[in-house]
Amino acid sequence: MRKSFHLLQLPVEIIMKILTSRLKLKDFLKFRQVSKKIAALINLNSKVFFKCYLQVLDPFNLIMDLLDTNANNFFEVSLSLMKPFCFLCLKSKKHNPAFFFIKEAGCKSNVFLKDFNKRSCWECLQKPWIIEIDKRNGEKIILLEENEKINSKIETSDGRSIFSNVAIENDIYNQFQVDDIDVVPEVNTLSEGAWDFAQQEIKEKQRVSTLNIHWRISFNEFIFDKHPDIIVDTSVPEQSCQEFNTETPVILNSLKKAIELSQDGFVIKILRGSTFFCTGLRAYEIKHSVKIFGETEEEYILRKRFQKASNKGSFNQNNNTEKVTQLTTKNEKTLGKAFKEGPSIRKYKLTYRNFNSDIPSKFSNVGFNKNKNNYVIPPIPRILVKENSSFITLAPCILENILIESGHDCSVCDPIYMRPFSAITNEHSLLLRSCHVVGYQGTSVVCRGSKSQIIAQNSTFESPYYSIYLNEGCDIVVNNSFGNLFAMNEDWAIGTNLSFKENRNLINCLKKNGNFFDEKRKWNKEMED
Amino acid sequence: MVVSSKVILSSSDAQSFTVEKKVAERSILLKNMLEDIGDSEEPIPLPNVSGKVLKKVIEYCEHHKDDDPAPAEEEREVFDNARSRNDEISEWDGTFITCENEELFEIILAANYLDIKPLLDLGCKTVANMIRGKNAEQIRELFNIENDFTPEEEEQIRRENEWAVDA
Repeated sequence: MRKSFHLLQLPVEIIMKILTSRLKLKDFLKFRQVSKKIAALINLNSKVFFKCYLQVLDPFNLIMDLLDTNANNFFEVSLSLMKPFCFLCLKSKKHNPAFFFIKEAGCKSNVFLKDFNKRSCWECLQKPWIIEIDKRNGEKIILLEENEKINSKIETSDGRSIFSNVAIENDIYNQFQVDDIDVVPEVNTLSEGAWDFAQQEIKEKQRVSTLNIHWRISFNEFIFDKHPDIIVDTSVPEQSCQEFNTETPVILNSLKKAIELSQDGFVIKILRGSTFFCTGLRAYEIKHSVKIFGETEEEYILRKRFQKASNKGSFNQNNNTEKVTQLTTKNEKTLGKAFKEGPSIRKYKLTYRNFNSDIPSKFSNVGFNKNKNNYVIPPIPRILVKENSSFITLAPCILENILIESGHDCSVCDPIYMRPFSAITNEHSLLLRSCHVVGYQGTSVVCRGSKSQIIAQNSTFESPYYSIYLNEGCDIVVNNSFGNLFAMNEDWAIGTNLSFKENRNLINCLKKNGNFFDEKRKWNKEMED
Repeated sequence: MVVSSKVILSSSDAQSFTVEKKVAERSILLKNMLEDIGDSEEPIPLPNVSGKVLKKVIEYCEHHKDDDPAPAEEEREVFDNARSRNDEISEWDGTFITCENEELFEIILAANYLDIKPLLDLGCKTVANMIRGKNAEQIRELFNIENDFTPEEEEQIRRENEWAVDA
């Protein structure tokens, strides 16, 4: 036995055992700062350490499996995965309690909600938000909360519990009856048998036997193409992960399978949800250097729509006022293998008017049914952001077409923001490409084609909001703070992962304000013809 | 050598210690050896453990001789993980392990060699406790580690860790 030695002369496995036995992450990182030798030692053996830490987050070793444990940068990669980020906006932030707000949940018995709050940044918590939890058994609990008001529990007519913040006051919510907060299985949100059709479609493609995936088809996809892409809803298993129940492996397998399919040209949409899955996807991307193409539903719809319009030969009839933007090879590369090598339907053209409007108030010409032979995406105006607007820091998100008047950093373009979500799904670039500002109200800029709540940060559910845009013939964009937008113009509805209640509210509002449904039916008929 | 359930252990510096077989079997290494060699009167040589350290180890094993026996091989990982996660250090163990760093490391090494997991855990937890809450400079002082970072490198690594350390 050696007669004299110090800590660094202990065998590596013992040093790692020391580091993993009781030390917290920050102690571990401080220890890494002690000397180069220690840093090197830790880097080389970080698998041991991170396996210990990731065990909580990654009970089934999904992330560890995905990570290349022999990679030189394993430590950095692992560390980046452990950085906390807000569950809602997915921004990575310093682990500062001021940002990662911990509070007593309104419903203490609800694991999800409690955990939710722990991972939410302060900014997100300041917003009214709506969460729906699909318990995978066909039921939903809708949680409503505004700021920090405590939820109250409501019993529905059939005895089911809903936690609702009744303090939310506006016309929309006042219209809302408790019984309307229906607890519906997901299938009921699909119109015209879309669910059955989609399932049949899946079976026909023989995916179902290999794809035990928790997916869902939005009714929009049904309307356009009847060809469902795969959507992995990662928001569901959050609770499951917390409870380590038996659903988790199913979801994990589904996710793995979906990722595999993305390599085969399928477009996989990962609905953001749990931190766990975002982390897992990040790991996957890092290991395989792939971009999992996550398509927003709006992007999907636009693609389908223009494809259909193009097939009918109605494209670009007015060459003087339109400009064709076709995805370039570079763009395709950006969009990833799935897009590039996928079926031909994945090729599409984006066409929009070569607008000459500088202000976002001229929307009267916008709308897909204004000129039946000229289907255009609404123009992308140069938006003039008021200096004191809270949106000013977000304006650069509209990179290509929006006048940037602020030196502020762009939250969406922030690489940190991209890491957990957009870098994986590549949705960021799509978002930018498809984001169209359609107006603003006060300090709220309203975007269509965007998935991020950041862009429509201050939009609310207030009924005047709808009215304004209806009257102007513009798109309506409803934003819930979960990051989903509901965009609608005179003839078109673009739903994005909306709760039943949101749909109901919007529909109620529209019934009051216009002939939306007649127009929509007309449109649908035209498209079918 | 086995005499009426006694075992003689011989340290690297030729010191001999006679202990109960039950005590010796706290070490998985010794337990396996005893099973392999059967009854024997020969001292068991432990060339990697000094007499001073072996005495401490025996003291530990004596105290814990009535603890639950070491689990079977296939159960050990679960068992060890559970024990490792347990932050508690008993009063006796705490007093026992309070010693100079060098001796502490030697005990850890011996526990590792002799495969006495509880003692190894105790040593590792103790070192971890010493590190806990200290900054890099304090850790260097504690373990007499030279800082070989340049100021720039140190600043860089500090920035890398900032997000977690500032919590």
